[in-house]
Amino acid sequence: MSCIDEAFELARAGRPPHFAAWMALVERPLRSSLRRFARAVDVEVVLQETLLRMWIAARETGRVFEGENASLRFALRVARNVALEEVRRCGHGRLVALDDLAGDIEPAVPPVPIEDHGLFHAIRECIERLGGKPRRALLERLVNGHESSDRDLARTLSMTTNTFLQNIVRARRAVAKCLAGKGVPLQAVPR
Amino acid sequence: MSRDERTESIEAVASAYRQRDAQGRIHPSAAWWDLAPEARERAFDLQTITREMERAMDAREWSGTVRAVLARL
Repeated sequence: MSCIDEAFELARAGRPPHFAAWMALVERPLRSSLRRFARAVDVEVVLQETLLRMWIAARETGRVFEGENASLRFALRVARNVALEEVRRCGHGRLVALDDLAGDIEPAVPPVPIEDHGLFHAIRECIERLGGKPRRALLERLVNGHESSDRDLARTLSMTTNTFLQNIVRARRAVAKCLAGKGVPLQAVPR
Repeated sequence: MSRDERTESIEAVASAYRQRDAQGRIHPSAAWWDLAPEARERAFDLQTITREMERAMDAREWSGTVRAVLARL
């Protein structure tokens, strides 16, 4: 039984924090599997909808998840179906390869990346080095960006939305330069 | 769209925040609609990097995506 299977078994009891722990394990492979749809759909929408559907599936008492990484394999299928629904809704089928539009292909399970605490430490150090408004804007987005729009976050910092975004762009460039100086290019982020 | 405007639009799409309608349907970022397909791929890459930065700054190492979904359960 993999760590993903163990986390999903706990999540099936219906406690949201256990489900969050499972989401944290499968988010990267799910997101990576959706890259092929990135030209045609907003992948963040597909991913959040997939995870919400998995929360429902996890609590269905009659549903059986069998085999290594069964919940991840199931989630990969749900993600592809949600992506195809979004492609149709947006009318962007021409932006997706024909093979990817076929809905009956068993998705390959990508390797689950090992947690890189060195990368996290380097990111924290580089953000700490930022100063002034770029630092405030980036931290506000990273900490509260899941629950508030950029417009609301900007208002909290007494900035216009455009200024807020410009500050994040500046902060991001400085963090990328700092990470490159540590030998950690942002492309090294696990996928 | 100027280069700076495109950069800001891509940055806007990197956020984990998405609006929902009355039926609970999640909607794409408004900025996403303005992007050309190539820029949408860059926005995807920036989303991926942003989620790692969010993990790095969270005590439980949960990304903005995980926290956004958790808030809806």
